[in-house]
Amino acid sequence: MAPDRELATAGTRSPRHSPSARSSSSRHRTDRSDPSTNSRRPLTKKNVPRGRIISIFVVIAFVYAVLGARLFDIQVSQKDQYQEVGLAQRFQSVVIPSERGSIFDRNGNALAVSVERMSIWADPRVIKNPDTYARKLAPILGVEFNGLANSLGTKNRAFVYLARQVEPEISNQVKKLNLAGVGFTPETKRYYPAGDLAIPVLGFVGTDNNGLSGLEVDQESQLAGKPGKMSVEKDPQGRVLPDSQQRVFEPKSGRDLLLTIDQSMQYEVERVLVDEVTIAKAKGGVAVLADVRTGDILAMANVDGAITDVPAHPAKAGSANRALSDVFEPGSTNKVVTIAAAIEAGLVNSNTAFEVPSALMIDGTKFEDVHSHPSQLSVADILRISSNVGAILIARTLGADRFDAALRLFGFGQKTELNFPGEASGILLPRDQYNATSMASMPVGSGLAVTAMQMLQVYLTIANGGISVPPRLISATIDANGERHKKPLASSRRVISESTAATLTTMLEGVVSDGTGTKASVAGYQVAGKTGTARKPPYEKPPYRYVASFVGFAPTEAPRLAAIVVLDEPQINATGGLIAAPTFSRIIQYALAVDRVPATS
Amino acid sequence: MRQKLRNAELRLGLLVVLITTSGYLLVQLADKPKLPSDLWLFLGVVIALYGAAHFAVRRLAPNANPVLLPLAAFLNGIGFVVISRLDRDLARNQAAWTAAGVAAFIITLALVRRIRTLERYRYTFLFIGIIAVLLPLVPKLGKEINGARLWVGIGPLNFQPGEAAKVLLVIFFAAYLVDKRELLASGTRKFGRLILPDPKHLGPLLLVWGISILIMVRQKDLGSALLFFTVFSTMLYIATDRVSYLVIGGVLFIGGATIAYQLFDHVQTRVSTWIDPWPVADGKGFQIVQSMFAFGTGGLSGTGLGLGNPQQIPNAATDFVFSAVGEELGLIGAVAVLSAILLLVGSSFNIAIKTPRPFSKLFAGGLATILGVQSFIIIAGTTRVIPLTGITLPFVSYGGSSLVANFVILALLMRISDDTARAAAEQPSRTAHALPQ
Repeated sequence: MAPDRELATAGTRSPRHSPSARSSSSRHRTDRSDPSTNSRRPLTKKNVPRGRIISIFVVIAFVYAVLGARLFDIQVSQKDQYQEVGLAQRFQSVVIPSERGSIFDRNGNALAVSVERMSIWADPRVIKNPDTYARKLAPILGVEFNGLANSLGTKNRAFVYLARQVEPEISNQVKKLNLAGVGFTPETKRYYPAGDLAIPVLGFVGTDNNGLSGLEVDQESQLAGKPGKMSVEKDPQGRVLPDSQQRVFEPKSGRDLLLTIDQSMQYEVERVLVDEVTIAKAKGGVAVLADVRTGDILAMANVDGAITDVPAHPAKAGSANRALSDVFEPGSTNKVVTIAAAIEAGLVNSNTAFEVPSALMIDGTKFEDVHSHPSQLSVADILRISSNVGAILIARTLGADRFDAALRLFGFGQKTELNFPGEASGILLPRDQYNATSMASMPVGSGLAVTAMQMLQVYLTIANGGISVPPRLISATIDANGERHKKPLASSRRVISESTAATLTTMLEGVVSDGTGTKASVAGYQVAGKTGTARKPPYEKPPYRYVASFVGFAPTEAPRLAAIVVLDEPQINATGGLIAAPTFSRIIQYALAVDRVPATS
Repeated sequence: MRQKLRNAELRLGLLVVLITTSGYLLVQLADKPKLPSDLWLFLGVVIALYGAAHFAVRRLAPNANPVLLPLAAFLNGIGFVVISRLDRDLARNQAAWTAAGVAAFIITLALVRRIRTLERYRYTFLFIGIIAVLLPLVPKLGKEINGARLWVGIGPLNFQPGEAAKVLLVIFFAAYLVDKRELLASGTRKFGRLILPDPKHLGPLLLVWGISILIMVRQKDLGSALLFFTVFSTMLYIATDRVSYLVIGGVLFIGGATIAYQLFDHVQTRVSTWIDPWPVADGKGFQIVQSMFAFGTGGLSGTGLGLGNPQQIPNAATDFVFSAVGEELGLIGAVAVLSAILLLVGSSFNIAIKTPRPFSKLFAGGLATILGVQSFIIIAGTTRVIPLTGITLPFVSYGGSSLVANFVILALLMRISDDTARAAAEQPSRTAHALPQ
């Protein structure tokens, strides 16, 4: 590529040049158009840069060929990939929420239902005058004008919620305004018709209707169902195209739950418990009422004690179901386990007499009886007057191994079959970690902790002739077609012999008829049960805090109903016999009436 | 001879009328199964427009190349059909602009009777051209649309003076290079294998580079800058045979582009969405991804006119008109359009080769390069071969300024072609030498 190739070739050129060049008025042109005077000549003929123009065109043709190849690549070779992604992207799927199952009590009263509510949203891009809109909408939605105007004026957003799950009259009012860019989406809202009734058992759901606590989360798989899917073709602005293909996968409704809870019993238990918590100025209380033969939980109440200006009341949504989640040292109610094991082992019967001192010193700790009593007591007496020393003596006869085995056999230290969300296992030392005082404290119900349900389970077993029927809250599910699917009873197991159970029942009857639990009696029925009063840690420092309880069942000749009442930190009459027993009495009395259990006397 | 040329042009034109009207009919039938009420009106208008251009050529440039007008009309027709499918309002405007373009075509042929007339006013054109480039930067007059400040708005009318500047500056540059090509060709400085001309002769080159950088930086229009620069570097090369100008041009452009990349987010976005648009397919990469989907959906034979979804692509009528063609007419349609453009560019280069006059040669070469490079930039952008830079596809895209400018370019090419043929006819003995061998 010699720099002067043009000059070099110029000499061989023909002197001819075009007439138009000659006639050009350009000074330079005239100079150069005469080959005889100047070797720099116009680009005529031979020095026409044909090669260069052709090479430029060749380059352009080449890049066009590349474009053609690229088109072939996109449109033929990789076609499927682009088509598939393209279609998938044009068809956006919209989730159609499934209808969440309802929750009914054992008589079919609705405790939790889902109702359709409109959520109101807006497309700010469409809205020209956010202020005008806000002025119209704010009073209807009951929100502040400024906030609403701001969200309506949000730039670059295609969707803002104005209000979620509003009442029908509100959404209807907004619909009547007929505002462009304001849309409605049906959503379901969880609604609890009975208010706070049994709410810690039922639990609650989040905004998206997913269970967050209680049975709502425990039974999520049953209740939720399967959301459906709708494919809609959308334009680049995300608006659904009219006449666009819609491929719908129908949502599958969730199943309804039929609970064992009896709404009226639950109500009564809560009411009675609130009264007692109020009178005792307790921090709170729980009560559980169950059917002896089936293990069905008929009521499970959690009550919050009064604080400054709020009176005692049934626990609100979001509260733990303390009957299952909280543990306490049971106190004397635990004595039956020691005695049951001793009878079962053939070591004692109800008449076996023990020489019972009023106090025992064990490893530097003094264990004493609350009530003064004769020095000789039968096993039945020990239970009736709740003698700690007597219980410790029986446990000594029994020995730690058999005692420990009995505790576990009755279900302590492990969750119940309910396996409720947040349920506690209780605290039970492993056998090899028993210390010097364990065999003194545990037989009388301290040094171990149980849930109210666990303790009720012990008495349910005794009431049921020694056979433990696992408790349950759900008796059946009802599918979308209305078909009922009964939940089979969990397999029961024998814990103690029938005769041991009968012996214990008789002894427990004595507690109510002539012992610490006389206030638990119910006119017309034979009631069996046991009081419990335990000090809460820290034990040594006043003010002393107690847990007072009563657990029992009725009628004794053919037990039908069992209940436990536990009062947390009562400040007045802080013993199981004085406050928990009367509450138990009222609960059992009501339940016996509702269940039409015939009176015995 | 001239009769034969013009009759060929007329026959090809009738084919174009048939294709355009059929396309329009298909678009309308896809909408509803009824013959459009304005079908005959449409046919009449298409015939009238083509007829007007054709008979103007018969009168004003009877010896001109007979394929340029039909090719341009074909591209214009396909473009109109696709635009009418995308947006009826845009189609109405485009029809008006097509009429304006044809008018500009006839006026250009009528005013520019000899191409050398233009050579005489080179500095006037340079002056007007520079003003045209700068016009969008004038406060209040200039408008920024889609991140690029290319527009001048007077009342409701927006136009891109850059389209006119393109032609004006090519005229100046062709004339200037004819004068200075020897000076520019003789190297005085050597850098390794590169031989550079004396810096004092580099003035105009640097001026054009400056204009390009200005377009790039001030108007944020990478596509036009690339076009300007490629065209002028190519013209320099044609004039001087020096590859070094292409190298220098390339280096200068890359330098400018790097600066633009550093300075402007939207340039960085264009590059990153070119490399991988998928992570931002719903956002910044939406347009290019939609374009890919359109091509993919079209496949070999296309969805059929009116049966695809090209309206999903933002700016489908302007920058992305080729993607719409690709979706509805498939690879076959896209390659047809690509081939028509290449034929148009090739014919234009052929005109440059045939013409004996240096100015015409450079001018025609420059115009041919404009058509070729501009089409490449936008087609390669929409197919993700190069980063996307918004620029119109000549004759096909929606856009008044572009359409009118391209019709003027067409008229000028045909004028050069006519000049050459007439000169050859007047001096038959020289024809042999003027023809390619």
